[in-house]
Amino acid sequence: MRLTLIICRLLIAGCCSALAVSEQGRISVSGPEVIETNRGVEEFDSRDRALVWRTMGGKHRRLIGGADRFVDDTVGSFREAAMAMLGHVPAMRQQTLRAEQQRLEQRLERLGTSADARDVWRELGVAEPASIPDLDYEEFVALVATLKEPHHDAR
Amino acid sequence: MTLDNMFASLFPEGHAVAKEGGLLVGQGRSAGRNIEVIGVADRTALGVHEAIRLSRRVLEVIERGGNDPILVVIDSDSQRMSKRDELLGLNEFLAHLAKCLILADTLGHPTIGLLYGYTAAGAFIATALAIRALVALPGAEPAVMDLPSMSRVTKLPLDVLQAKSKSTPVFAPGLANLTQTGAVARTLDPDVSLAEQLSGLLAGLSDARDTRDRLGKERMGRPKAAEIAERVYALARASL
Repeated sequence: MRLTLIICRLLIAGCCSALAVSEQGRISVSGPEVIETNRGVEEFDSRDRALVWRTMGGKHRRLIGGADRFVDDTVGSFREAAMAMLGHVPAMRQQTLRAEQQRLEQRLERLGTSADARDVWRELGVAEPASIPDLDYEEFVALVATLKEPHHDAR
Repeated sequence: MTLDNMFASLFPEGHAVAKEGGLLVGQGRSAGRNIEVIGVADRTALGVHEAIRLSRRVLEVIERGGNDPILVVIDSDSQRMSKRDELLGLNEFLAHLAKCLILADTLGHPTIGLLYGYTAAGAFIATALAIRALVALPGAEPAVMDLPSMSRVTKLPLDVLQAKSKSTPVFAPGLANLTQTGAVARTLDPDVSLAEQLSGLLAGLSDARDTRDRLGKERMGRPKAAEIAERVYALARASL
């Protein structure tokens, strides 16, 4: 079964208390086609699928901490993630948003000069960034568990 | 209306709002009270750096306490459309700014949006739409999504969308349409003291509830939202 969680418009994803994403999920404010329409193919080639997935796809969002869980591409996996996350929802209060402010400021400091997702992943401690797109679900989850960045309760 | 003229009319008792990198941050005094100001000027795009600067200021206001209102003045582009901003997670930065504004309002800092130029899409939603009440100056040009981009995403021809936007205010660009949907409460009169109009607006905010869906229903621009929201609310209450 192929399930795609696409929350690619605007800000809903970032306003949720917790977010699960699959590899096929794509999270962005401006979609690839819209960036290309407005800024030209030099800025973003929407037909370069590998570029689209590594810039906006589920694996990238999980690695930078933009999504809290990475799920397999099955109904069961989404369900399990939803049930687990329901039990661990940070309150929207001053401390949570202050922590999110710090988390995002640190992200800009640390990753702000990265030109490509592969540079971001290397900076986050991924030894072989080029291998990320080919990792299967278990391999990717195991890798994420070794990194610090994706684990936080600041949103 | 120029920014200087607008601030002079809003803050006859003086203001200290600095403009830097297309962003506005500072305070003004109006009707004897301090008003915190954040905003976007010169049709600047809202990217990760702009959003984090504005959210930092909103958090500072929250942490200082008190109940000073926050005025969000906007003449922006849309969100910054770039590979870099998306790579760094622009959706999180914009959502964070929106949440900070909503939390500030919840904690007693009434939030007012003021459109005095252009704004669109993510920049609009994360600023002037994440507030309690939104007003505009004549000539403001808000758009949730411009029609060429909508055409690209929906694959509907531009002329079809132009025709639809004439009959359906929801998602159609422009001040008149957004007023009809209830998003914009009212358009201010530039020939009358903006300080007085702001003061009147703040005094009328006693009801904490977001009434934009009701306004949209009354004005026949967004007929379903209020009813659906009430049904969702009733169902949520029933399951407790």
